[in-house]
Amino acid sequence: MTTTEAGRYLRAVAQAEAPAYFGTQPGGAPVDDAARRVWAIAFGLVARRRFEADTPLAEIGRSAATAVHEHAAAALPRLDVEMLIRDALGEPVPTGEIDPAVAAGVHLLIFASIADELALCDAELDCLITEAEALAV
Amino acid sequence: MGQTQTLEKAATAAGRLILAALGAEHPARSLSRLADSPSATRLLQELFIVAVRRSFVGRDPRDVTRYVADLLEFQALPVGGELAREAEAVIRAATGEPELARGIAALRRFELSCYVIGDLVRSPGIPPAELLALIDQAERRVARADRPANRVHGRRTV
Repeated sequence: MTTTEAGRYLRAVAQAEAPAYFGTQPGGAPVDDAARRVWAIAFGLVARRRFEADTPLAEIGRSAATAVHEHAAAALPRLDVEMLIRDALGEPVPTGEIDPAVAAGVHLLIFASIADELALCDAELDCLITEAEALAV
Repeated sequence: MGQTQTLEKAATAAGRLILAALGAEHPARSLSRLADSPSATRLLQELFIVAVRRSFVGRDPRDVTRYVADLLEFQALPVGGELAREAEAVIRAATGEPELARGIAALRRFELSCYVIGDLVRSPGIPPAELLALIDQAERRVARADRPANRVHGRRTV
Protein backbone atom coordinates (compact mmCIF):
# COMPACT_ATOMS: atom_id res chain seq x y z
CA MET A 1 0.00 0.00 0.00
CA THR A 2 1.30 3.42 -0.86
CA THR A 3 2.42 5.38 2.16
CA THR A 4 3.18 8.89 0.99
CA GLU A 5 0.97 11.69 -0.23
CA ALA A 6 3.06 11.87 -3.41
CA GLY A 7 2.51 8.15 -4.03
CA ARG A 8 -1.23 8.42 -3.52
CA TYR A 9 -1.33 11.41 -5.83
CA LEU A 10 0.61 9.51 -8.49
CA ARG A 11 -1.83 6.63 -8.28
CA ALA A 12 -4.74 9.03 -8.62
CA VAL A 13 -3.13 10.49 -11.74
CA ALA A 14 -2.64 7.01 -13.20
CA GLN A 15 -6.28 6.20 -12.53
CA ALA A 16 -7.37 9.54 -14.01
CA GLU A 17 -8.82 10.55 -10.65
CA ALA A 18 -6.37 13.29 -9.78
CA PRO A 19 -8.17 16.23 -8.18
CA ALA A 20 -5.79 18.63 -9.93
CA TYR A 21 -3.65 18.29 -13.00
CA PHE A 22 0.02 18.78 -13.43
CA GLY A 23 1.74 18.36 -10.13
CA THR A 24 -0.38 20.20 -7.66
CA GLN A 25 -1.10 18.03 -4.68
CA PRO A 26 -4.54 17.91 -3.06
CA GLY A 27 -5.11 20.49 -0.37
CA GLY A 28 -2.56 22.74 -1.97
CA ALA A 29 0.32 20.90 -0.30
CA PRO A 30 3.57 22.22 -1.76
CA VAL A 31 5.30 19.94 -4.26
CA ASP A 32 8.58 19.29 -2.51
CA ASP A 33 11.72 17.52 -3.63
CA ALA A 34 10.67 14.31 -1.87
CA ALA A 35 7.48 14.18 -3.94
CA ARG A 36 9.35 14.95 -7.14
CA ARG A 37 11.81 12.15 -6.33
CA VAL A 38 9.03 9.61 -5.89
CA TRP A 39 7.49 10.62 -9.21
CA ALA A 40 10.83 10.58 -11.03
CA ILE A 41 11.70 7.13 -9.71
CA ALA A 42 8.26 5.71 -10.49
CA PHE A 43 8.57 7.16 -14.00
CA GLY A 44 11.92 5.40 -14.42
CA LEU A 45 10.49 2.11 -13.20
CA VAL A 46 7.54 2.17 -15.55
CA ALA A 47 9.67 3.37 -18.49
CA ARG A 48 12.07 0.46 -18.01
CA ARG A 49 9.18 -1.96 -17.74
CA ARG A 50 7.77 -0.71 -21.02
CA PHE A 51 11.01 -0.32 -23.03
CA GLU A 52 14.36 -2.05 -23.39
CA ALA A 53 17.57 -0.01 -23.54
CA ASP A 54 17.85 -0.71 -27.28
CA THR A 55 14.19 -0.16 -28.16
CA PRO A 56 13.99 1.57 -31.56
CA LEU A 57 13.59 5.29 -31.21
CA ALA A 58 10.51 5.19 -33.43
CA GLU A 59 8.71 3.05 -30.84
CA ILE A 60 9.66 5.36 -27.98
CA GLY A 61 8.73 8.36 -30.09
CA ARG A 62 5.34 6.84 -30.84
CA SER A 63 4.58 6.29 -27.17
CA ALA A 64 5.77 9.81 -26.40
CA ALA A 65 3.54 11.24 -29.13
CA THR A 66 0.54 9.26 -27.86
CA ALA A 67 1.12 10.42 -24.30
CA VAL A 68 1.57 14.03 -25.33
CA HIS A 69 -1.63 13.81 -27.34
CA GLU A 70 -3.56 12.21 -24.47
CA HIS A 71 -2.54 15.00 -22.16
CA ALA A 72 -2.71 17.77 -24.73
CA ALA A 73 -3.91 20.26 -22.13
CA ALA A 74 -0.58 20.01 -20.33
CA ALA A 75 1.29 20.93 -23.55
CA LEU A 76 4.25 18.69 -22.80
CA PRO A 77 7.11 19.12 -25.28
CA ARG A 78 7.42 15.85 -27.21
CA LEU A 79 11.19 15.81 -27.50
CA ASP A 80 11.62 16.50 -23.77
CA VAL A 81 9.34 13.54 -23.07
CA GLU A 82 11.38 11.34 -25.39
CA MET A 83 14.66 12.50 -23.85
CA LEU A 84 13.45 11.82 -20.30
CA ILE A 85 12.36 8.32 -21.32
CA ARG A 86 15.70 7.63 -23.01
CA ASP A 87 17.48 9.05 -19.95
CA ALA A 88 15.51 6.62 -17.76
CA LEU A 89 16.69 3.80 -20.02
CA GLY A 90 20.28 4.80 -19.30
CA GLU A 91 21.12 6.50 -22.58
CA PRO A 92 23.37 9.60 -22.44
CA VAL A 93 21.01 12.29 -23.74
CA PRO A 94 20.70 16.04 -23.16
CA THR A 95 18.20 16.53 -20.33
CA GLY A 96 19.61 19.72 -18.82
CA GLU A 97 17.60 22.92 -18.46
CA ILE A 98 14.22 21.18 -18.40
CA ASP A 99 11.95 23.27 -16.21
CA PRO A 100 11.18 21.39 -12.95
CA ALA A 101 7.46 21.93 -13.51
CA VAL A 102 7.71 20.38 -16.97
CA ALA A 103 9.80 17.50 -15.63
CA ALA A 104 7.25 16.83 -12.88
CA GLY A 105 4.44 16.99 -15.43
CA VAL A 106 6.25 14.50 -17.66
CA HIS A 107 6.96 12.16 -14.76
CA LEU A 108 3.33 12.16 -13.64
CA LEU A 109 1.47 12.15 -16.91
CA ILE A 110 3.80 9.90 -18.88
CA PHE A 111 3.77 7.48 -15.95
CA ALA A 112 0.00 7.45 -16.26
CA SER A 113 0.13 7.03 -20.01
CA ILE A 114 2.65 4.18 -19.97
CA ALA A 115 0.80 2.45 -17.13
CA ASP A 116 -2.27 2.62 -19.32
CA GLU A 117 -0.32 1.36 -22.33
CA LEU A 118 0.82 -1.63 -20.25
CA ALA A 119 -2.71 -2.08 -18.91
CA LEU A 120 -1.37 -2.39 -15.36
CA CYS A 121 -3.97 -3.54 -12.86
CA ASP A 122 -4.44 -1.73 -9.55
CA ALA A 123 -2.30 -4.19 -7.64
CA GLU A 124 0.60 -3.85 -10.10
CA LEU A 125 0.26 -0.08 -9.98
CA ASP A 126 0.38 -0.10 -6.18
CA CYS A 127 3.35 -2.41 -6.25
CA LEU A 128 5.24 -0.12 -8.63
CA ILE A 129 4.47 3.02 -6.64
CA THR A 130 5.38 1.37 -3.32
CA GLU A 131 8.68 0.32 -4.85
CA ALA A 132 9.31 3.89 -5.97
CA GLU A 133 8.51 5.18 -2.49
CA ALA A 134 10.90 2.71 -0.94
CA LEU A 135 13.65 3.70 -3.38
CA ALA A 136 13.05 7.41 -2.79
CA VAL A 137 13.86 7.43 0.93
CA MET B 1 43.75 26.90 -55.41
CA GLY B 2 40.75 24.61 -55.12
CA GLN B 3 38.85 27.49 -53.67
CA THR B 4 38.83 29.65 -56.80
CA GLN B 5 37.76 26.71 -58.90
CA THR B 6 35.01 25.88 -56.46
CA LEU B 7 33.82 29.47 -56.35
CA GLU B 8 33.25 29.50 -60.07
CA LYS B 9 31.17 26.38 -59.98
CA ALA B 10 28.09 27.34 -58.01
CA ALA B 11 25.31 28.39 -60.34
CA THR B 12 23.80 31.20 -58.28
CA ALA B 13 25.18 34.19 -56.43
CA ALA B 14 23.75 32.75 -53.23
CA GLY B 15 25.59 29.50 -53.87
CA ARG B 16 28.86 31.40 -54.34
CA LEU B 17 28.29 33.33 -51.09
CA ILE B 18 27.80 30.07 -49.22
CA LEU B 19 30.88 28.50 -50.76
CA ALA B 20 32.93 31.54 -49.81
CA ALA B 21 31.63 31.34 -46.22
CA LEU B 22 32.47 27.66 -46.08
CA GLY B 23 36.02 28.49 -47.16
CA ALA B 24 36.46 30.99 -44.33
CA GLU B 25 38.26 30.34 -41.08
CA HIS B 26 35.07 29.98 -39.02
CA PRO B 27 32.53 28.53 -41.49
CA ALA B 28 29.54 28.46 -39.13
CA ARG B 29 30.08 32.06 -38.04
CA SER B 30 30.60 33.22 -41.64
CA LEU B 31 27.44 31.44 -42.72
CA SER B 32 25.43 33.09 -39.97
CA ARG B 33 26.56 36.50 -41.30
CA LEU B 34 24.59 35.73 -44.45
CA ALA B 35 21.42 36.23 -42.41
CA ASP B 36 20.67 39.52 -44.15
CA SER B 37 20.70 37.96 -47.63
CA PRO B 38 17.27 36.48 -48.36
CA SER B 39 18.49 34.36 -51.25
CA ALA B 40 21.41 32.99 -49.25
CA THR B 41 19.22 32.11 -46.24
CA ARG B 42 16.73 30.46 -48.57
CA LEU B 43 19.48 28.38 -50.13
CA LEU B 44 20.96 27.57 -46.72
CA GLN B 45 17.61 26.24 -45.67
CA GLU B 46 17.49 23.83 -48.59
CA LEU B 47 21.16 22.96 -48.23
CA PHE B 48 20.47 22.04 -44.62
CA ILE B 49 17.65 19.73 -45.67
CA VAL B 50 19.68 18.08 -48.42
CA ALA B 51 22.78 17.62 -46.25
CA VAL B 52 20.85 16.27 -43.27
CA ARG B 53 18.80 13.86 -45.35
CA ARG B 54 21.87 12.54 -47.15
CA SER B 55 23.56 11.97 -43.80
CA PHE B 56 20.82 10.66 -41.57
CA VAL B 57 17.88 9.18 -43.48
CA GLY B 58 17.96 5.41 -43.13
CA ARG B 59 20.32 5.50 -40.17
CA ASP B 60 19.56 4.92 -36.51
CA PRO B 61 18.07 8.23 -35.23
CA ARG B 62 20.27 7.80 -32.14
CA ASP B 63 23.14 8.78 -34.45
CA VAL B 64 21.60 12.25 -34.50
CA THR B 65 21.99 12.52 -30.72
CA ARG B 66 25.64 11.45 -30.94
CA TYR B 67 26.31 13.77 -33.86
CA VAL B 68 24.79 16.75 -32.03
CA ALA B 69 26.90 16.09 -28.93
CA ASP B 70 30.03 15.96 -31.10
CA LEU B 71 29.06 19.10 -33.05
CA LEU B 72 28.33 21.20 -29.97
CA GLU B 73 31.45 20.00 -28.22
CA PHE B 74 33.55 21.03 -31.22
CA GLN B 75 31.92 24.47 -31.13
CA ALA B 76 32.59 24.69 -27.37
CA LEU B 77 28.85 24.94 -26.69
CA PRO B 78 26.97 23.23 -23.84
CA VAL B 79 26.16 19.65 -24.88
CA GLY B 80 23.72 18.52 -22.21
CA GLY B 81 20.90 21.02 -22.34
CA GLU B 82 18.26 22.79 -24.31
CA LEU B 83 20.52 23.76 -27.22
CA ALA B 84 21.31 20.09 -27.81
CA ARG B 85 17.62 19.18 -27.80
CA GLU B 86 16.85 22.01 -30.20
CA ALA B 87 19.63 20.90 -32.53
CA GLU B 88 18.31 17.34 -32.50
CA ALA B 89 14.81 18.69 -33.11
CA VAL B 90 15.74 20.72 -36.20
CA ILE B 91 17.73 17.83 -37.67
CA ARG B 92 14.98 15.29 -37.10
CA ALA B 93 12.43 17.80 -38.37
CA ALA B 94 14.28 17.72 -41.69
CA THR B 95 14.26 13.92 -41.77
CA GLY B 96 10.54 13.47 -41.33
CA GLU B 97 9.44 14.58 -37.86
CA PRO B 98 8.52 18.22 -38.54
CA GLU B 99 6.43 18.51 -35.38
CA LEU B 100 9.58 18.31 -33.23
CA ALA B 101 10.83 21.72 -34.30
CA ARG B 102 7.56 23.57 -33.78
CA GLY B 103 8.07 26.32 -31.28
CA ILE B 104 11.75 26.83 -32.06
CA ALA B 105 12.35 30.42 -33.12
CA ALA B 106 13.33 30.96 -36.76
CA LEU B 107 16.57 32.68 -35.77
CA ARG B 108 17.59 29.75 -33.59
CA ARG B 109 16.82 27.32 -36.41
CA PHE B 110 18.93 29.41 -38.74
CA GLU B 111 21.87 29.47 -36.32
CA LEU B 112 21.65 25.73 -35.76
CA SER B 113 21.56 25.03 -39.48
CA CYS B 114 24.66 27.23 -39.89
CA TYR B 115 26.49 25.05 -37.36
CA VAL B 116 25.44 21.87 -39.14
CA ILE B 117 26.33 23.12 -42.63
CA GLY B 118 29.58 24.63 -41.39
CA ASP B 119 30.39 21.22 -39.95
CA LEU B 120 30.40 19.74 -43.46
CA VAL B 121 33.82 21.23 -44.07
CA ARG B 122 35.26 20.44 -40.65
CA SER B 123 38.49 18.55 -41.15
CA PRO B 124 38.76 16.18 -42.95
CA GLY B 125 35.55 17.54 -44.51
CA ILE B 126 33.57 16.22 -47.42
CA PRO B 127 35.23 16.14 -50.86
CA PRO B 128 34.75 19.41 -52.81
CA ALA B 129 32.88 17.61 -55.56
CA GLU B 130 30.37 16.28 -53.06
CA LEU B 131 29.91 19.71 -51.51
CA LEU B 132 29.23 21.18 -54.94
CA ALA B 133 26.74 18.41 -55.65
CA LEU B 134 24.91 19.26 -52.41
CA ILE B 135 24.79 22.95 -53.26
CA ASP B 136 23.68 22.17 -56.78
CA GLN B 137 20.86 20.02 -55.48
CA ALA B 138 19.86 22.72 -52.99
CA GLU B 139 19.85 25.32 -55.77
CA ARG B 140 17.59 23.09 -57.84
CA ARG B 141 15.25 22.64 -54.90
CA VAL B 142 15.05 26.41 -54.43
CA ALA B 143 14.37 26.91 -58.14
CA ARG B 144 11.73 24.19 -58.16
CA ALA B 145 9.94 25.33 -55.01
CA ASP B 146 9.96 28.96 -56.05
CA ARG B 147 8.39 28.41 -59.48
CA PRO B 148 5.15 30.40 -59.32
CA ALA B 149 3.00 27.27 -59.66
CA ASN B 150 4.69 25.62 -56.70
CA ARG B 151 4.79 28.58 -54.39
CA VAL B 152 3.33 27.62 -51.06
CA HIS B 153 2.45 30.29 -48.57
CA GLY B 154 4.58 29.98 -45.48
CA ARG B 155 7.05 27.68 -47.18
CA ARG B 156 9.99 29.53 -45.68
CA THR B 157 9.33 28.15 -42.22
CA VAL B 158 9.34 24.51 -43.46
